[in-house]
Amino acid sequence: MSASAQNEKFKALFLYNFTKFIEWPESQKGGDFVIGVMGSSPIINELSTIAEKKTVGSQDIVVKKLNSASEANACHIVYVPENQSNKVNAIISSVSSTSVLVISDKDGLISSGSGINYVSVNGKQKFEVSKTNIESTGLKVNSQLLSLGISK
Amino acid sequence: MKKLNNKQLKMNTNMKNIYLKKCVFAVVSMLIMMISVTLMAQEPVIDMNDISREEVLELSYDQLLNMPLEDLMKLADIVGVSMEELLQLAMNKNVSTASKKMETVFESPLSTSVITSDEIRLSGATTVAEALRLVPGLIVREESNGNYDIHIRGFDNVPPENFTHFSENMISLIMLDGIPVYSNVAGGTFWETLPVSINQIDRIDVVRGPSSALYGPNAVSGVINIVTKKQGDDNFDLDFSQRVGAYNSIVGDLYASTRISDDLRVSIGGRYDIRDRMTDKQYEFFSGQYRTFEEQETGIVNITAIDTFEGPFFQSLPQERSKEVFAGNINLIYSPAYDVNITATGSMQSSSVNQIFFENIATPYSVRSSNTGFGSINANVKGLSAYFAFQGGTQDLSEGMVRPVIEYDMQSLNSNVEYLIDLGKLALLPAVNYQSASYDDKMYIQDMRESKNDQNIDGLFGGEKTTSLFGGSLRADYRPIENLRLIAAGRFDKYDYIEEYYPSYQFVASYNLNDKHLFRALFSKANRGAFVGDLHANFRNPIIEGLVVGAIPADSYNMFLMDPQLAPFAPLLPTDPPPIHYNFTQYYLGSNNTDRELKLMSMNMFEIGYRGKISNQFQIEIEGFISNAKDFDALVSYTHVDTGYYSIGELTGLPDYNSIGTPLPDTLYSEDPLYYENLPLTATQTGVSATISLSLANNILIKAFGTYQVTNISNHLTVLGDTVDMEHKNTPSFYGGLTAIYIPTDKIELFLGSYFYGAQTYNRYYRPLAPTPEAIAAAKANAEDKISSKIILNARASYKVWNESRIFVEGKNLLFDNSPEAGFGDEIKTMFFAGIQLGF
Repeated sequence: MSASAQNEKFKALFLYNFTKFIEWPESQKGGDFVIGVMGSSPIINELSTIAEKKTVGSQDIVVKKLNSASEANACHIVYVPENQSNKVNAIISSVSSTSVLVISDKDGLISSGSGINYVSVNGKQKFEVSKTNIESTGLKVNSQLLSLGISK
Repeated sequence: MKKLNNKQLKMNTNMKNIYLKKCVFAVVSMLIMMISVTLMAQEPVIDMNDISREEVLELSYDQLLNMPLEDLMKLADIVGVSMEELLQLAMNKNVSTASKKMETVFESPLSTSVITSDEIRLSGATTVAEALRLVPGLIVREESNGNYDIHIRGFDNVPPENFTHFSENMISLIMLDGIPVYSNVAGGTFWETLPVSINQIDRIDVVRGPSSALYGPNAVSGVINIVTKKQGDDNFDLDFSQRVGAYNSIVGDLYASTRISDDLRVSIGGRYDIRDRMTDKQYEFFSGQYRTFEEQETGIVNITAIDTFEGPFFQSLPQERSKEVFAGNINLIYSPAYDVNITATGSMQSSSVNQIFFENIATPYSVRSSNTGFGSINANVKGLSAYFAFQGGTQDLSEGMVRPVIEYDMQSLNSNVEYLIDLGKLALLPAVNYQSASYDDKMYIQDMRESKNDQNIDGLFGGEKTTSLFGGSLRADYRPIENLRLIAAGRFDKYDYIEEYYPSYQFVASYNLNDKHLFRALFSKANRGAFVGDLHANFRNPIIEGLVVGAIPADSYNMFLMDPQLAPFAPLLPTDPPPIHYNFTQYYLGSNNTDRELKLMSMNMFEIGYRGKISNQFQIEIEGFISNAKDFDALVSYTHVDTGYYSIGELTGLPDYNSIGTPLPDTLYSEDPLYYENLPLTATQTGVSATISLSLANNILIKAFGTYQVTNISNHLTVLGDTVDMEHKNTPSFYGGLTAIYIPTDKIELFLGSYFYGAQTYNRYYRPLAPTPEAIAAAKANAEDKISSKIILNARASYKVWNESRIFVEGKNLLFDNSPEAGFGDEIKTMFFAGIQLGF
């Protein structure tokens, strides 16, 4: 596996683990657990591997490639790869009426309203987490996640 | 921390239990079934405080999925992300040129290399050409400060013993964002005219080997596609760099990009590149020496120049300058969805360079100037991809040349539509392509006739001349099973003025074993384009009476007036036979002007290749190839000045004429007809290229690459009309590079790289004074230049001050080897740059 893919693998593993610290409303606890990825990204392969092996509670995981921001509101989590960062604002406004965890991947995007933002700090993969942004969408966040990430 | 340790202990205990069970199971299995033992996966003990990066990389998904987030975070810290960026520089880069879709270099079924924007920055490349020294299989020669000629794999100066411009690469397809940018005069690429900033290049894709089936004409030795940045950050990207260096070199590059709305971005790029030559001497054909301009002014060169050349030899450029380039572009990128992208681009450039190309009677160097504009629309909407591009402007291939005038207005049009039909295991890509070009030198001929008060002055084309082609292609990409890929692509081109339909094709098979080993084989054929020069050259130049032709020592192509000032040279003139020829007339005629059907040069290649990701630290790539090329065309000479007073009619059966169309008796005239005509020559190249990439620790990447090749030529037509077989010595038998990137901290980047090539022999056009072995050998020796092997060692160090802003120093050719890199070329010396980069 390439080093690039290694990094995508850890991002995917982190993403799966976030589901253990976040609670979606009852209305979204039935059916499949949908993880949307904006555009093409190698993380889709990693997430698909996880989806074959794991569930979120009793929900099967489904990984979906999103073609436009408007498809984001049918997901539980939307991951926005760095090269799609210009769509973060559009995604956040399109999911304002549903409980979707938006995970971005670029310095500074936590201030645009994403719940979690991947950052690289001194060559290491970290994540920023915003309690305000997560809870504003109707999700509940376990304080342990806030302490593991860089709380914003 | 304490909490973590407790957790780890617990985990370690769990893992140890699992490990023990597995071991016991393995031992039992060994006893029962010996063979299966080797297949058993043994899971390592995980000690979070003492786990190496390699051990982390060995962990399975199941192990990782069972870990808590905080442990995963710790493992991610050990793996790091800087490593990823470094190894991206090896084989995991994305490439689109090879298959016309995004894939990694590892998966590419062709001989493919990619240079990323990071590599360009880290290496300190100041031009696209310089960046191409990082690529296996490329021969990159610096001809004067900042000016280069680039060949893919070889076939440089084939056919040999020809005019200087035939030594420049005319058989590769160079593209900017997928749109051809080569010149339609003869298919060469004028690298200084690329209207892009080095900072706005996202990557450069290189495909070695014939690839016309996918990309159209002239992809004979390969394809170089320069891809600019399209994506951008959320708000505003800026990348400006300024270099100041030796020989009054000033190079500035700008890239800026911003989002206008959700779906629309705008970006601009700009560049200036001004440099002096590294020497005040230039090779002079007549004396066979490197001489200063002062020496030349009192020598033979400027006296001969009265008639055929408007001295001095540097026109728009000061005599000491090698390069002045100014370019700018603006791009609008509309991308409402991830699979919809429409880009509109407009650019302009103004450039003058003093480099080897269109030789004159004095030197192989001339000043080439271009003022051009370019506009294109490139749309990718789901599977449909189309572009439409227009280029126009003026160009002077040899400023100051009077005979022929070689300045013209030009226009060219390129359009292409293709559609990807994805049928699961089978993907089809049909495409249609139209190209046309028009060159017109009428106005410049008239201007020169008026200014010289001489109606006999002609231009290279003698009016408006065109070339065009219509092509269609189909590519089928079939994956019968996941690891096996079979590709067949075919294309037909119909060129204006050429009867035949030209086929090109490519058959490829690749097998991907475990995503670690890729084996591939391919057979392909491609042809050179039909260019305005080869088709339409129409230059008839009666040089006034009283000329001495063939007064060597350097070469019989030198001419000078019988003039008292030349008395000192009289002893040099041969007396037997006497070299005096009156009313000497030169002709350059394209095939269309001699009713000779021109076959387009074509090449077949068989290639096998292997790529291996041997470990996370070590990757290797090997390609072996055998290529066969035929149907070269060149300006072929028919007379020898020493053997009498031939007329063009005697030799060719065409009507005798002079420039004003009056038939004239043969005996009074000496004529020098040179036709674009196919040669019987064929060339076969056999070679192998290998690349290894090694990443040491987290932050060192070492790349070594080299090509060994032999080129044999058959049926080479000598000046006496004999055909001979020979080994071609102009392509170095060995060339390659060795580079190391070291990133000790976030702030410091270090680069040390070498590019090297073996000795070569360049053979220029020559004609002997007499058809004797001695005279031939003497003339041939005068037209021969032995280029010694050279190691060009470059280094760069940069310090990040803030964000993406850096200060840096760069040294080039640090072994102080001043030898020329091209036949009769300028000395290329050691070069230093200091610079700043402003970016965020």
